[in-house]
Amino acid sequence: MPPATPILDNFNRADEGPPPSASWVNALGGLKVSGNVCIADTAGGSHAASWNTLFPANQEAFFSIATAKPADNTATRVYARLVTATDVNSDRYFIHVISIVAANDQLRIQKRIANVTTTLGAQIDIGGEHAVGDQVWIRVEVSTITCFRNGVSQGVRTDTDLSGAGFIGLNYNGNANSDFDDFGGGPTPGIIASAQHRPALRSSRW
Amino acid sequence: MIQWYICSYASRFDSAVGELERFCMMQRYIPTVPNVDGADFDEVEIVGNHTLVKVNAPLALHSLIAVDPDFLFLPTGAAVIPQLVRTPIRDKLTALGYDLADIDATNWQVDALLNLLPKFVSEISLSLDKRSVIVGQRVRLLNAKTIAMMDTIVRG
Repeated sequence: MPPATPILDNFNRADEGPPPSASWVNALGGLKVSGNVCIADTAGGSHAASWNTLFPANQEAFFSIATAKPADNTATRVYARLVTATDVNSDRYFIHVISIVAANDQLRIQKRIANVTTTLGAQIDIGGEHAVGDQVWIRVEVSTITCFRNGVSQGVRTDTDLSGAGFIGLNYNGNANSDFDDFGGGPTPGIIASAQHRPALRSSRW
Repeated sequence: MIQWYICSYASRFDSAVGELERFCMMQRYIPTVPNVDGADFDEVEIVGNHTLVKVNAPLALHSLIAVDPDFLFLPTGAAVIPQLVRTPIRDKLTALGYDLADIDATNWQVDALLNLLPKFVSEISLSLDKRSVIVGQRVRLLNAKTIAMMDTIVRG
């Protein structure tokens, strides 16, 4: 299943930034366009940029790994419902795309509330390594957070800490050799969303 | 097989991003999904840096979790929590910060007890040096996640 929202930026243009264009804002350090992909402004550290449009609460965000997967023991992130576009450390939900040394790589569905990061549920073992071209996305609808990889749901979590509109974006962490391509997202179609993710009420008392 | 537990959060340093990460202690038994047991869990935060956890796992795995002192098993097989197991549950909940009056008001009805727990969460924040998590007093969660929502991933 592909994302329900369009590609917003394929980064196919002359080098510019940070931020990658006027449609973005720096959220920490900065991201920029270089060689038709999106990379950190400088090597090392944490860098982030938000798409500068406030989307309704039901939203998704996605990207593809461009030319290099995250190096071992580094991570990239795609986030949604970010409260403050210019501050990646404000409250948000995100997918932590992490490469593990000598083990299968992982995805983690996480939230950051009051400067505390919490993994929701178990870590998601992708059964191998992240690869160039992999598409990862986060979908947040009402209280349901879903992580997709290459069109397949990898995990679903529920949480109510963040329920309002927010910003979407990308975040590097100490990861100079990885890059982003084909960033997209926006509001999800609500009627479809509620039909897909209505809580599966059991016939019992719950 | 569905069972419910109360356990704490734990913290670890995520070296990939250089920051502290909080996670549910149920990862002791279900660190990753998918797994050979077909086990999964979903959690909702409650008072005192603890979580109410709904676990779908084989009986053998539940047997391990249920005897681990870091996990409090909540018997939900009947409509009412059995008299014999109320004391440890009462002690644990009051230690976490729940009012005895609130607990007693549930009349130990399973539905009422499970729905009481997520109505409060702990205020959490990082210490100034960002090396530890500070858990404050409970706050009422106005838009508390209902127990039903946890069926999204952990289905009976």
